[in-house]
Amino acid sequence: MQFQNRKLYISVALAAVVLFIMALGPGLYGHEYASQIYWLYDGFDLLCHQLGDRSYHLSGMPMAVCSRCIGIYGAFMAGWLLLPFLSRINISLKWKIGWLIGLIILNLADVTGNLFDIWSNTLETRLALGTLLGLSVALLFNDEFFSN
Amino acid sequence: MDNEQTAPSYWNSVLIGALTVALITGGLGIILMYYVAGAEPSMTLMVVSGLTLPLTCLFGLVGGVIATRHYAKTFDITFTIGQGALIGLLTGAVAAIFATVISQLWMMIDPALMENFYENMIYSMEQIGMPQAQLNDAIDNMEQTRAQQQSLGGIALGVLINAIVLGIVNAITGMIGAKIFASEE
Repeated sequence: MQFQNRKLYISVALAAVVLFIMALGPGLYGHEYASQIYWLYDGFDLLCHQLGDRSYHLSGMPMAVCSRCIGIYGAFMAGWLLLPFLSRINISLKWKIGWLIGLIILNLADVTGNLFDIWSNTLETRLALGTLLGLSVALLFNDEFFSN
Repeated sequence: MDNEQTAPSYWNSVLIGALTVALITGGLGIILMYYVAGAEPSMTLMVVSGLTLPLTCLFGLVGGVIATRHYAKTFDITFTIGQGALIGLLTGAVAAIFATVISQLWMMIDPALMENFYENMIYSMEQIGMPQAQLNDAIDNMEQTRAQQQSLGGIALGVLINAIVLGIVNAITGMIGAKIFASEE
């Protein structure tokens, strides 16, 4: 297996890990330290509604992002770290873009359906849809860094 | 096609992507604050404020795609996903600065907005019968956020942390943009 464009792969891997750890919020560090790193919420205030009842909690504190977003960040990080294995999957760019667009639409439909009371989504369904979206983003790059 | 030697500047595309993100996220945020500050406190208010924000999330993410698409289409060139990541990273960082400038300017134009926004949010939480402990936590969080937003150190920290997070997510969407719009495939 050949590994090319190493600097970019490793930089994005590190960035994805940092982003995921930040997204877990101050609760990760336990209740006693949480108040000192409350600013973690500020980092995601332009990216997520951060509603407590739509987020998972750690040490009794909501994560810095909602369940859908933690699914996106977590799955992107996992997918990126698993790219050496995902590179074995042979899918055309057209299909990968199709999957990505389809999952964006599915997530938007889920938000809209919930907004108009057509259905009620849960923490788990939002996490699942976010996870699929995050994974589809990582999968888009499965032929960029590793070749068999 | 090799564009390495004669690659045109991407700064116009970065600024366009960043300004789009900042105007839409900042603009929608301000509109939402006016809505919340002016509306009758109710459950609907809480729901609307919670569900309008996901729209701004999307625009916060697409800065990298907008910038890389603009760069590729304007100069009709292809470039690597590494360059897409760089363009996205810069777009996110600049967008964080623009968004802060827009919101701070608006707070100077209408200083009562923030006051009314927080008062109405707290009143709405009381109206929907939120448990007292949860209500106290929410009020503490709001007060903390508000105090931070008014201090210079808080504003600088806010810009820095927003620039890091927006920079990383837009670097990823910049790579997506490069893959879709600037790939040789």
